[in-house]
Order: sequence, then structure tokens, then C-alpha cells
Amino acid sequence: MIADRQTFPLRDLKPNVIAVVHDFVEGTRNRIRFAELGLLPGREIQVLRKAPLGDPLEIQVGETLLSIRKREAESIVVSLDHES
Amino acid sequence: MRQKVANYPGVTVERKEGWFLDQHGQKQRILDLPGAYSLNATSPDEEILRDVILGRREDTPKPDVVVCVVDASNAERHFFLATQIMELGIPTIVVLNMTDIAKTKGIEFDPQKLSDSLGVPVILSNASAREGIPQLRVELSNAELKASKHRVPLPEELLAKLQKSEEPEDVHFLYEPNHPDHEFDEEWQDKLVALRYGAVRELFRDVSYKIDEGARNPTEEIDRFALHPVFGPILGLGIMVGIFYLIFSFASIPMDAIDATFAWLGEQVGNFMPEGDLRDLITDGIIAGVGGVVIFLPQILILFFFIGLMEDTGYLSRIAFMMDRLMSWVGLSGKSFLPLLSSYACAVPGIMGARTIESPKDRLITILVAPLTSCSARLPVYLLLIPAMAPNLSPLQKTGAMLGLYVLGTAGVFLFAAIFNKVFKRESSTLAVMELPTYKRPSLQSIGLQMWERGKIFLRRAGTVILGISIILWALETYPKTSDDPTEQLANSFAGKVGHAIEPLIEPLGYDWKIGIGLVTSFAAREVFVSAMAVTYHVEEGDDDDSTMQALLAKIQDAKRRDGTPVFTPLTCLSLLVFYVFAMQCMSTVAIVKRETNSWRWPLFQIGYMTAAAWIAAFMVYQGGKLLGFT
Repeated sequence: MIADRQTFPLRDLKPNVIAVVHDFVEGTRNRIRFAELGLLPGREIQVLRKAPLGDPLEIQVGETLLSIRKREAESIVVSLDHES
Repeated sequence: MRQKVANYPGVTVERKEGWFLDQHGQKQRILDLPGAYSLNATSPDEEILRDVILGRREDTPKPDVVVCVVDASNAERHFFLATQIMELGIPTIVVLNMTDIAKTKGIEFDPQKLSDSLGVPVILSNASAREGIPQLRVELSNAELKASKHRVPLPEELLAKLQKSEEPEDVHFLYEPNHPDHEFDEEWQDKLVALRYGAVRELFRDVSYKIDEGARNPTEEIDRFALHPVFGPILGLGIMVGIFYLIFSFASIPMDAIDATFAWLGEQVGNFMPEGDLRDLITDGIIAGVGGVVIFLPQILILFFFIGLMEDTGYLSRIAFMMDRLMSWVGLSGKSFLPLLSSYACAVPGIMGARTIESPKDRLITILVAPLTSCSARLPVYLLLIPAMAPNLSPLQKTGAMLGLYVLGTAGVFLFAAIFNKVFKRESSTLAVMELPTYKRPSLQSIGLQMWERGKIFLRRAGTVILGISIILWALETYPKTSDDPTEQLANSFAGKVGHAIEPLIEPLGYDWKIGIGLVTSFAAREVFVSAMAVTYHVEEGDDDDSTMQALLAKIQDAKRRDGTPVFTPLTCLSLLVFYVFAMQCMSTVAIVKRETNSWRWPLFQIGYMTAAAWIAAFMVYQGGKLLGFT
């Protein structure tokens, strides 16, 4: 399973597809804050929609809804396979 | 126990204090602290929370009891902070609030079990329906409150490090950035976050139940429409237009009443007091000056009602979400949008609203550019000068001219925001991440409380700063006494001398000394320009506002310079309009910026840059217009 795990940045995740947080890109600023907001490896995450002007994205992690800019979503790596 | 709570992260940056009588009749002080995600603070409001709870602030004693109000609909995330606080060894009470929303999400709790595993009281509440408040009062009356026994299980390696320290908070701050005693280790901090989340999840495994997996999600249902690519912006725009329409139309009823009250008050004083300087001071100085400001109270209250409503329901963050992109063009975030929008009514509430912005740099830039929006105090000036500039415009053309001035002001906002963003640029770790809270029913009580607070602040200022300035201005126009003729008197008064003194400075803009008096006196408030012109050109009181305005218009169109040419040429009027678009000219704004930034530096800078921008723009209009052959 690990071998064919496909990881990609959160900004490329299609709306309403459930993915799993994999990791942060090396040198991500504020990674602690992201983690404190619930963006932890292993957590389910989905993009609910784009803002009408195309940026930022509305994402859901657990029960939390967040607005996150695409530039910030660049540094969050997600994958599609579910371990559970 | 009344406090302002806002459904918008970071709103309660200010200290909010209250008190209540406990069951033993003892008075207890309550301090409402700003919301936060973690004790590991990243913004000024989070620092307040951390420092108060740790007793690091000299002005606030370390609390005896901490009440953690946790959003039950998102308990896991909120327990991140709650468990951090509980581990500090301070007696704690946990309130699971918004249980009604949790219920719609299909989540229920067993408070007894949770209380058993935490070792502190747990209260289910629904503050908007005032449920759970009596139990909280009972618990707060208990002198035997204990600290929680809950601890996040830590790995040996970390425990070994902690053994060296004596402070319980060190578990959170062992790696606190910028702290002299701690080395910041991002990797450990990261692990600690994951451990804490794991522990919280463990805690809730037995105490909360998802009773209905397929429960409706009202927030998502509303957002599907409210954030729709097409309907979302239309709805947002519709709401904004509606609010502004109400501010301009509906507010006129109470405003007329206030106007009439002050006019009546002035009349009464005029009838009862003997003629003389004291009477003039009270009627022309105090009543006219303070009344001219108090008249904006209805607009401010209406604005705060709607801001409060949008904040409380959670819609405000949706507007910020939709506007984020637009604001990012000038380096700001969506959080700056609403304070700037409010500033079109009045920069004072707009600047106060900038407290919702976490990033200090963004907040400062927002405060600095907010007075460039064409606020309602500019309206009287525009309404006088547009017809003076071009008497034969159709109503539609007048509206167009007005709109042009609003566009010019808006362009100024974006231009200066972009400039300040470049100038203040530093290595910024600002997060644009923003929470979109669950929609909830607004609490009219908390909105009303907020309106009352804001109204009180506004009136207090009218009674202090504005009162003082009104008296000074009156004195400057009245002394030294030289003549019984009001125009002569004005020319030789201190104000008149100032007008003459600054004439060389404003001559390149096409103004004479009388306009100079208008500029100087309206430094306190823009609309004073109109009344200053009325005094200068000796306009008789008309039957109502309109006829006074007509009479004033006729007078200023007849006004001649020393060489016999008209003063208010179209080009001079245009230059004046442009000047008022950019100039600061508002003592209330100066006072509020001083308060909000806690220094004189920024209001002075603001006066400087805006006056310079106004002068340069008016100079370019007047001199450029002359070169092109206009008069």
C-alpha cells in the first residue's frame, strides 16, 4: 500500500473528495499552528469549495471549517488512500 | 453575568470585565479573555489570553478559577486549548456551550463521565438560550474548586527534560519561540500537538456520542447558497447595499429628531440667557458643535446592529472569505474588508472594527487607510460643492459626480494600502488561515449590549474631545473682538488670521483665505466646512436645511475675490472636492486611532500623509486644469 500511495499538495485536491493529511512540505511556516487547528497527519480532510474569486479554499478537518489560501494549501501534502 | 461574545475569532481583543454575586453574596470579578487556538500564542489577542492565565501581566492578577467555554459542536478542537489550560494547575470549570448546535450535528455528551475523567465540573449550556447559567453560578460559588488531574501522556524523553523545570506551564512552553529560557524545537512541539490531539480523542471516546450519523448539516446547507460562485456574491452585495440604504434612509428619521432637539435646546438657551459671550459659547460653540457629531449616533448604531448580527450568526467570516482574494491584491486579507466597508458610513466604527484582524501589520494598514473611504461626514461637503461646481447638472449627472468621488476615495484606499504594504514589509509569518464558524442563531441580547457599548464610547467622546474642540474653535472665531459685523469679526479673529496666514499655502489649489477658514475649522470634522462657509458668507437661517443650503449656494456663487473674479469657479470647487476626498479632517478619527494604536505616532502620521495626498491631488487638479484652459 505504502509503495503506490499517491501524495500531492492540498491545493490540487478536488472539491468534496475525502483525503488524508500526509505531511507538510519542508520548511512550512506556521506548521505548528496548522497542527493546532487539527491539520495533523492521518486526519481526514476535504476541500468543500473555492471562494467565488477562485481563492481561498474552504476546507473541512474534523468539525472545523477553515478558509485557507492556495499558497498555504501548497505546503500541505495529502494522499487519497485510507489506512483505516 | 453579561459579556460580549462574538462568533468571529479574535473579536474580543479588548479586556471585558464584569462582576456577579455568588450564592454567598460575595462579589466576584469576571474577566472575558479573547478566544485562542492554543496557549502557544501567534497573535496579540492570543498573547493576552496566555499572559493573563499565566499571571504574566502586571495589570491583571492571576485568575483563581478559569472557566473554559468550549464549543460543543467542535469539542475536540476546542479541548486542545482547554486541556492545555487544565494542566496548568489552576482550578477549572468546563462549560460545553452551544449544545443545541451540537445536537443538530447529532452529537451528545455525558457530562458526568467527562467530569469524572477530568476531575473538574462540566456544565452543558446553551448560552443564547441562557441554559446552564444557574449551574455555572453554583459552581463558581464553590470555594473548593480543584485543578484538573488530566495530563497528556508524555514520552520518557520529554519527561526527562521536564524534570529540570518546576513550572507546570513548561510543558507548553519548553519550546516557546522567542522565550529567553526556552529553546524552540519545532519537531518536539509538533509531536506535542499530535500527542495532545490523541489524548483529547481518547478522552471523548467514552463521553460523546454521535447519535445520528446522517444528521443534517445546516451550516453546509446554508453555505452551499451563501458561498455559491454566483449567488454568494450577489447575496453579499445585496446585504451590503441594504445596510447602506438603511443607514442613509432610515437613519434620517432619528437624525432629524436629534437635529431638532439640539436646535430646540439652542433656542431655549437663547431665550433664557442674556445676550453675551457665554450664551454664544453655549449655543454656537457647545450645542452646535456637540450636536453636529451626536447626529451621527443613529447611523453608528444601525451599522453596529448589522455588524453585530453578521458577526453573531457567523456570516461575517463568509464575507471575509469571499473578499479575501480582492484584498490580497494589496497585501491584506479578507479580514480587512469589513472594517473598510464600515468606514464608508463612518471611519470611527470601521477603525474599531479593525480589531478583528489578527495580524498587527494588516490591522495597522487597515486603520491607516480607513479614513480615505468617503464617509458620511463628507456628504454635506459634496452636496454643497457639486452644485456649486456645475449648477446645471441633471440629478443623474450629480449622482455620477458623487459616485466619481466615492471611486476616487476607494482608489486611494487601495493605492495607499499597496504602498504601506510595500513600506512596512518585513519577514511576516502572517497566517491567512481563518476559521469559518458554524452558523448560529444570533443573540439579540449580545448584539444590543455591543450597540450600547459602542454608543456609549461614541457619546463619551462627543462629550469630551468634540466638546473641547468646539469650545476652542468658537473662541478662535470670536476673539479678539473687533467688530459687530460677523464677516469683519471673522476676518480679524484668530481663525481669520489663521485663514490669511495659510493663504499662500492654499492659493496654488485655487482657494482664498475664507476657504482657508473653512479648511482650518473643518479640521475637527469635515461637515464643519459647510457651517463655516455659512458663517463666513453670513447666511440667514432658512426655514429648513434645504433652503439654508440653497441660500448658501447662492451666496458662494456670488462670492468675489479682491480682483472681482468669482471665488468658487468650477475648477476651485473640483479642487476642493478632491481635497476633501483625501484629507483627514476628523478629530474623532484622530482620537480613535490614538486609542486603537496606543500612540500619537500613527494618528500624526495619518494626518501628515492624508493632508499631503489631499494637497498634491488638489494641486494637480487645479494647476492641471488651468493648463488645460479650464477656470
